[in-house]
Amino acid sequence: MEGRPLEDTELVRLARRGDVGAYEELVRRYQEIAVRTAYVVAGAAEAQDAAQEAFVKAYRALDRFRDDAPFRPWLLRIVANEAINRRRSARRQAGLALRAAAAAVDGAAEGRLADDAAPSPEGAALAQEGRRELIAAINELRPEDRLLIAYRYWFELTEAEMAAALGCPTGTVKSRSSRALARLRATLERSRDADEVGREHRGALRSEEAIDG
Amino acid sequence: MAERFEQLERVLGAFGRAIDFPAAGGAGTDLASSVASRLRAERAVPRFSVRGLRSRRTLGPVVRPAWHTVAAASLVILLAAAGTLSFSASARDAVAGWLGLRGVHITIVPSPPPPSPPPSGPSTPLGSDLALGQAVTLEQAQQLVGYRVLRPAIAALGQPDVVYESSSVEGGLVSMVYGARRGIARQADGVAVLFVEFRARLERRVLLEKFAGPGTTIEAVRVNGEPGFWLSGAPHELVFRGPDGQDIPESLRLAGNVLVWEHRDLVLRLEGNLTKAQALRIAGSVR
Repeated sequence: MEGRPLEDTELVRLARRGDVGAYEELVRRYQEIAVRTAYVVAGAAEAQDAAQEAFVKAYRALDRFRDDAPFRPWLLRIVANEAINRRRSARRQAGLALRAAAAAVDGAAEGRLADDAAPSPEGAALAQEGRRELIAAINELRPEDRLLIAYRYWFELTEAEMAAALGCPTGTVKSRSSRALARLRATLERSRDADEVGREHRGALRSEEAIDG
Repeated sequence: MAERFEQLERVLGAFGRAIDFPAAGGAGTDLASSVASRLRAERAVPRFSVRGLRSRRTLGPVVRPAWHTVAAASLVILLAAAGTLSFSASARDAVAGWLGLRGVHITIVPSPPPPSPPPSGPSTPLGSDLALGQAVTLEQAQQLVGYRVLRPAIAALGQPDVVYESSSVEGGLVSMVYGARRGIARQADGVAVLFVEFRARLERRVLLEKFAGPGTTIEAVRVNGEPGFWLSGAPHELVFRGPDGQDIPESLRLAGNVLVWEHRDLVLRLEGNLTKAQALRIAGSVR
């Protein structure tokens, strides 16, 4: 393609007239975030297929796409729906995974973030096994909550984009996000409590062993 | 955002880098080219246009006729304000259009949507492949949605096996899933009957259903005096309309016959391997 890259709206207009090449350019533009979005909802096994299917469905629905609306959040909504439909045995297969390098503790960053962490569950999440704990808690959330978190903190969508991508009024994005964070924190608290019970239990076992020994 | 989440938010912001996001396309393939070759192979020009839907500002609670131009073909549509009507898509495969209830459009398209792949994978709660939201108890569903939750009160059906709630529709969408019952065969995924309810509000979210294909039959019916449609014979696809007016294609993996009707400000929908008589009996019992 020569000259300045075409705007999304222009590509949409061309694609709507049957220009598959123009649509291919749109796909290229948003395939990364589409696959990531599908991954957040449905996990690695379904992410590619869900994204591909969503792009095809979006193409077929282009006639219903409003010209003055941004393409990306509309696309993401279709991707998320497709991914939700494909999520099969969610709990077992749909989890996010840590990068191999990140599974090891990144000391500097964690230390900095954990400074004021003392007794809060967030603080606990940053301690030694913080990342595993945090990702486990995120994986326990409903896909809708995971999406909120991903859109807001990882993909950095604007509130207007989030509203369009989630299909909710802009005014409710904040409150929805707060509720998702509250649920995440509750999950972290539960897992921390469970850990403590586990430690006490293990501690008790050790003292019993000591007595027996 | 409340201050109490400040630290959690900072953590989450940094946490994105730690997640093992897959690259688009995977090993040795390119997603954009794959999509493009699929579209070229299918010659999938956008199949139909329902632009007219958007300009239609209000849909009354009464069933109304409407017509539109679809793709290149002109179209006729068929529906009396009251009474019964039958329509066979196979008889006029060049015809497309839609019929509406409040909050619901039914679009007839010339060619059927591709069949949904059968669900697979390890066994999960009944209906969990249908993307109906979170499994809840009836009491929880009632607390989550902004209207009184109704359900069929007919002995043959009894209690739902699993209840789901989803916020995909404003005001909440409640789905009740029933496994095999006497006289109602279950489908491949174990679901025999699906009952869905949500509040349809004008100018808000519209549930739009496209139906297609040879053998699709649509019949206008009345349930407790309120308008509805009985649709039988073809798999279908759902399209939700967001508050921003955008339509979002969405597919539901159930391909039974469908009864969809209004009940005060709710839209109710009943789906499964049901005969029309069974569906109407169940629908009539809803309270």
